[in-house]
Amino acid sequence: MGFLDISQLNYSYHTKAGETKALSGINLAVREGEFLAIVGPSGCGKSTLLNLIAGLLKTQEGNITIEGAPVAESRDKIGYMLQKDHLMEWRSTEDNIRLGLEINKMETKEKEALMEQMLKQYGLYEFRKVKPKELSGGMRQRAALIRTLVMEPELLLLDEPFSALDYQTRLSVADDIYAILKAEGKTAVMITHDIAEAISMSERVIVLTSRPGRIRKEIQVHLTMEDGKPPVKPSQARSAREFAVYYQQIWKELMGDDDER
Amino acid sequence: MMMNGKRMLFQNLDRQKEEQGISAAQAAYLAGCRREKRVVRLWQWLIMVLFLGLWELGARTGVIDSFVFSSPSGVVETMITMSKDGSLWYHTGITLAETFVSFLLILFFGIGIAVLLWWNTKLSKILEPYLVMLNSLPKSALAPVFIVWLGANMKTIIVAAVSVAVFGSILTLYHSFSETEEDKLKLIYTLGGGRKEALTKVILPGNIPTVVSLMKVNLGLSLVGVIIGEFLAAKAGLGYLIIYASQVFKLDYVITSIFILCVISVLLYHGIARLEKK
Ligand SMILES: Nc1ncnc2c1ncn2[C@@H]1O[C@H](COP(=O)(O)OP(=O)(O)OP(=O)(O)O)[C@@H](O)[C@H]1O
Ligand SMILES: [Mg+2]
Repeated sequence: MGFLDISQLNYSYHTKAGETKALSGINLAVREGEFLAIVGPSGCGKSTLLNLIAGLLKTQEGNITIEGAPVAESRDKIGYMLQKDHLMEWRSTEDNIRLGLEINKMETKEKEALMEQMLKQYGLYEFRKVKPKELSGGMRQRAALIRTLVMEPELLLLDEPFSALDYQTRLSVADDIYAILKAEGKTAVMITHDIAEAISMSERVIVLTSRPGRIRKEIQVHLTMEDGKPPVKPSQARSAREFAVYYQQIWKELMGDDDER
Repeated sequence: MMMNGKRMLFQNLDRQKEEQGISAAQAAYLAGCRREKRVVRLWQWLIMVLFLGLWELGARTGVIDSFVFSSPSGVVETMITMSKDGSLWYHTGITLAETFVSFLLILFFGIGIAVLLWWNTKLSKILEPYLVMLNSLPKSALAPVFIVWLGANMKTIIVAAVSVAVFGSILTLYHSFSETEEDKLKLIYTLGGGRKEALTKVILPGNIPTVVSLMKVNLGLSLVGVIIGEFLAAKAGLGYLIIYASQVFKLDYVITSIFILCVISVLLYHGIARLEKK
């Protein structure tokens, strides 16, 4: 049994236009502290899977448990990072970060201290009073991350968290976020379209088939650098020896999907 | 030496300006803006003076009949007598009070009902066609009905004024609420909030600009509604004064009332515009 357990999960959307089967027979166990990446063709049900784990959608068939308890009871253990930062333009950086605390009536001294420490650590302290439109894309994404982390979730769900950023920012924010998650020992499930990003950040990559999403392949990632040690930062991982091999393998799995159709 | 000192002085001045963030080109641009503003103002005054002057001249020489068209000096005289006997303040005060009460009621019901509709999607689906119908109905048609139901009094006037703007406000606000980005609401839910938090943290603060621009329109509409109401059902107020004075051919009073209405609408508009800047 893992930290997060998913068994026999099926999910369908019902609309007037008809029924859309989004997920089919998903079985998955995620260890505590693991970084898991999910890749798959567009529309295969990745966001649906994350929404189910987050408890934003109700499960129809199958079970999802976190530390043995159903997700409905564990919502406060889960942090969710969306594709866009969704900072409220009318709130200052720190008030944006307080949003979750306000909602959960958790504005305690300890939380304020934690927030201040995170703002300093991630280079946003000088910008805590300014409105989001004065922040760069990377800063906004970091602010959104602090907003999630200040709630101290045990499991972090990331839905294409970097796709709104330009390539440069994307690499550095990925490094930042990776470092933060590892330092805090968080379990993370990340969806991405970027195979390189999946390999460089995660310990395991799950490849889904096109709709309805099933698990097509699980790939354990072990990277070694020139010196024989694993890479420290995701941005270095691209020069790891096995990188190209993993890239090829995942690429083939994703493409192979088209052949079968 | 002299030259040098002078140049340095200028350089210093330039630098000072630049430190304030103003270069020579920027200063020239700002000067241009000021000049244009002066020209615009000048023309605005010129048009007014010309209009009033010609009107007065026409009335004096008998080119236009001052009995029917009144005259600027007649209006001034009327204003003086009216302010002396207090009727000017009385009628203006009544109209203003009715306008403010209607305006606040429109704001209250507009926001309140829009929130209710946003909260209860089924209710909004059920009520939408009725709201659309009520919104496009010419509200002046309702005024006589209100008189029958409520009597010829201030209640009728306020209800008439509210009816002019409230349905449009509800529809505008409700649509603006529903167009809020779905993912912003999702964010609230991921942070453990419910519909109430979505309302107070996203929907309401995010729609302040819509509310303010709606307030601008509604202030004008409440005044329209109040005047319509006063035409039909009042014993006091500027609308009453206009109707009464026109029936007894006291055109000086009619024009004076209209002039006061002009002043009121300008002042109200600027009041809201100032609020908007904050
Ligand atoms: N609310 C909804 N109602 C009906 N169908 C939906 C809804 N949300 C998603 N779908 C459908 O379910 C399928 C899976 O959607 P999902 O958003 O999970 O895909 P995804 O893998 O995240 O795609 P992408 O990579 O483009 O983000 C899609 O075909 C989509 O059209
Ligand atoms: Mg998606």
